[in-house]
Amino acid sequence: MISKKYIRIIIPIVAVLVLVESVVLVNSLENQKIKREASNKPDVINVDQVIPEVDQVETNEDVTLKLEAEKLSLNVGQESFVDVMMSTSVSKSFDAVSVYVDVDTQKVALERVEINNSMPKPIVAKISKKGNVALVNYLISSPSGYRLASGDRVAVARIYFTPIDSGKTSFKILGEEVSEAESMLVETGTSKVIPFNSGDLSVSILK
Amino acid sequence: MRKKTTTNPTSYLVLIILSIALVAALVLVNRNQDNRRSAAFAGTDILLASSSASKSVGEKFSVQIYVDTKAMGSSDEKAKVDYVKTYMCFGNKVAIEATDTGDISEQVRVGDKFSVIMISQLEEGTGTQAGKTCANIEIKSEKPKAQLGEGTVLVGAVEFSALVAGSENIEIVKDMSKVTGFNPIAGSTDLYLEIGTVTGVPITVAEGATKWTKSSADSCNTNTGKWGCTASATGEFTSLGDCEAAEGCNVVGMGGYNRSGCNSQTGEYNCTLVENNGQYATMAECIQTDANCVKVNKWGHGNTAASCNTATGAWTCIQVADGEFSSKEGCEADAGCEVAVAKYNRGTCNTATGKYVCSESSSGQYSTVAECEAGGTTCKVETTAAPILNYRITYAGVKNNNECATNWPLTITVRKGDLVKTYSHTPTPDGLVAGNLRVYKGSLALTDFTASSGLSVFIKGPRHLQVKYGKDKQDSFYNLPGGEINLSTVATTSSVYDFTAYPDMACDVVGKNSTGADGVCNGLDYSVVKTAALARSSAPKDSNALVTDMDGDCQMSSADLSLLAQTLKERQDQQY
Repeated sequence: MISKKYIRIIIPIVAVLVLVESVVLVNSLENQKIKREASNKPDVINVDQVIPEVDQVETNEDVTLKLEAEKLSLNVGQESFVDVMMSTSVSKSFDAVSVYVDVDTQKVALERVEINNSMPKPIVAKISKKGNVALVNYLISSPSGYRLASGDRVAVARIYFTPIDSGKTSFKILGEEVSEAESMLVETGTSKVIPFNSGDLSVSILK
Repeated sequence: MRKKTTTNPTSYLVLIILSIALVAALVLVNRNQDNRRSAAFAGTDILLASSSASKSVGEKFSVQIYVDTKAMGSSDEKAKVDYVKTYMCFGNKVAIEATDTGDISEQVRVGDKFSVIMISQLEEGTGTQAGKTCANIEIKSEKPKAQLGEGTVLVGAVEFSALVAGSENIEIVKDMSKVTGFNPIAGSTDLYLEIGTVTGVPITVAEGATKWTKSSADSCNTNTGKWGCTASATGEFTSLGDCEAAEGCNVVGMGGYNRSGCNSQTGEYNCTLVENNGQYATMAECIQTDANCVKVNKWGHGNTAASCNTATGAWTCIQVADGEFSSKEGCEADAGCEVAVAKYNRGTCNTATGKYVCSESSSGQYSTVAECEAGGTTCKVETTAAPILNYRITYAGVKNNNECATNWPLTITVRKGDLVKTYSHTPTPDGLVAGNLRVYKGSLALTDFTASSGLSVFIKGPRHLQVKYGKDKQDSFYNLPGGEINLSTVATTSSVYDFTAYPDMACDVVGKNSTGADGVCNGLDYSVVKTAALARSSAPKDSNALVTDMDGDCQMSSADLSLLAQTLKERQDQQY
């Protein structure tokens, strides 16, 4: 039988262990949460971390819709993302911003579309049922529209994807070729379609 | 022998350590453990408030809508709010002034932390709110995250009127209310705030004054040109309308009236409202006769063919200064204007009615319309073996009293496999209501279309998207190939297909490369309708002139914009 003397020593040791374990466990949970938010939520997209795309984007128009990849070369199964960035060389106000991005489903699987707080909430931001198009659609109800000043640059959407087969593949902003999936910018006041520069984004997928 | 009790120092140490462990455990338990995304968070209350609970009949009063967000876990940060939907119900003791379509946007004001009214609509209460009137109000903020409201935030205010004496409770239906915003811990704005308690506001309406008086000498609303009035037992006006319309309150910038000539028939000046610096403050003052504008009591008819009424054989006479007749009767009876004998000539045969199309002609062959139209054996109704499509349809947002939703032509395409034919057809109101939408009916002979079973029908309204109907009583998107519509060639026995549960969707008003509808609903349509809604455009009753009028109520408002956005979202959900 264990004597009372030993019990008096063991109890405080156990109490201290429980306390230390509680502190370690809760801190671990907090750290996990912070890591997950950092990877999932582009609260503010850090443009500096994104490697510029290399495909040519024409610059004839005032407004540019550009695809920018987190990585231009990545491995099968390695989740990554592409940002849709909008910029303008002259001040513009928008009533509607609709962007459709097409991918080759043989090469990549689209995962989800996320938006940040820099623009009003879109009515639609999703992956199509067939998995080949990521779309985001902003309708601006404010009378003055969504204003982008000269030189401003804003993230319209972040598209997460996972490469599923090796080779080179492209992300493409759809234009007039599909009437119901035409990427479109509409100007406040004039209700005119604003022409924009855009180009494909190519990424290499390694095994 | 009694043993002496001694206290071991180790016991004190155990007690102290266990106490520390207990305090630490309590602190840790209070820390937030919920790191889920897209989940409801924070207990947010919605409450109503009014300056006083006692009102008099006829009195207007404001009810403020507040939300109260709470701090998250151990954080001091409170949830921020960017969108609030309140569903506020009340009985017949009070009311909100609405347009014919139930729009109450004129009675709703937005709090300074919010930006726009998305929806402001009166509806009939259902379920536990049956018999009551409910205001569906959705307000959102388009401000940056840092400027969103937190804690107790004024969302907006609604203007009510006290109607009948008695007690009333304006309450919020929790299940139909919604709040979204920014969760300071999860760090996102697309999350729902869990609604905790909702608190209505009790109002007691007393038998008040039945008369009205101007609220003050400064209560003229220069935007509307109406006086602000309050109920008063000693008021000088017997109705609110008389009080508001009392003289001396004009729209700023309108400036009054100017004369533009004398009407010699009445002896009054012609007057027009001008934007600035009108010479006369009121119409009565402007038209008042004087020595330069007197009534002329002579009559003339001008001796033109236009002034001879050939139906009555009398001249149409007007008062003129140099008229040759001293009385109207003498003028009308003047010689030279006889009753014309109408004659008619036949045109083409209308094979649908079996009658000739006739037009009036002075050298016509027939003396009556009936004689002219009679077809006999040469002009007969042609029978056809074409299948008959009898249908009923509704248009999204078009309610029973929307007076510009008349004679809307439909493009109806019927398909079976590769056999396709398109028709134009205009349905007529059926006198029925489905839900709260007006029902239209039509009966279309599918001429030159040989199939009559397994059909699908595609219907497109003049400002609507093409919707596929594949079966009777369809109530959602029909995404199967082909269809289940079967027709017969006899109009009276062919089935009546009820498409009213799935209204034709309003959206398509303009195309990128065309001035009219292009079959596509996109941001361009939204922008055009938004511009018209901001301009508050309107059209005369029974007119189809306002192509952006999505709900056919003859005026542009946020309801049209909301309807279009709803269609765009629904269509994209169907397609993608």
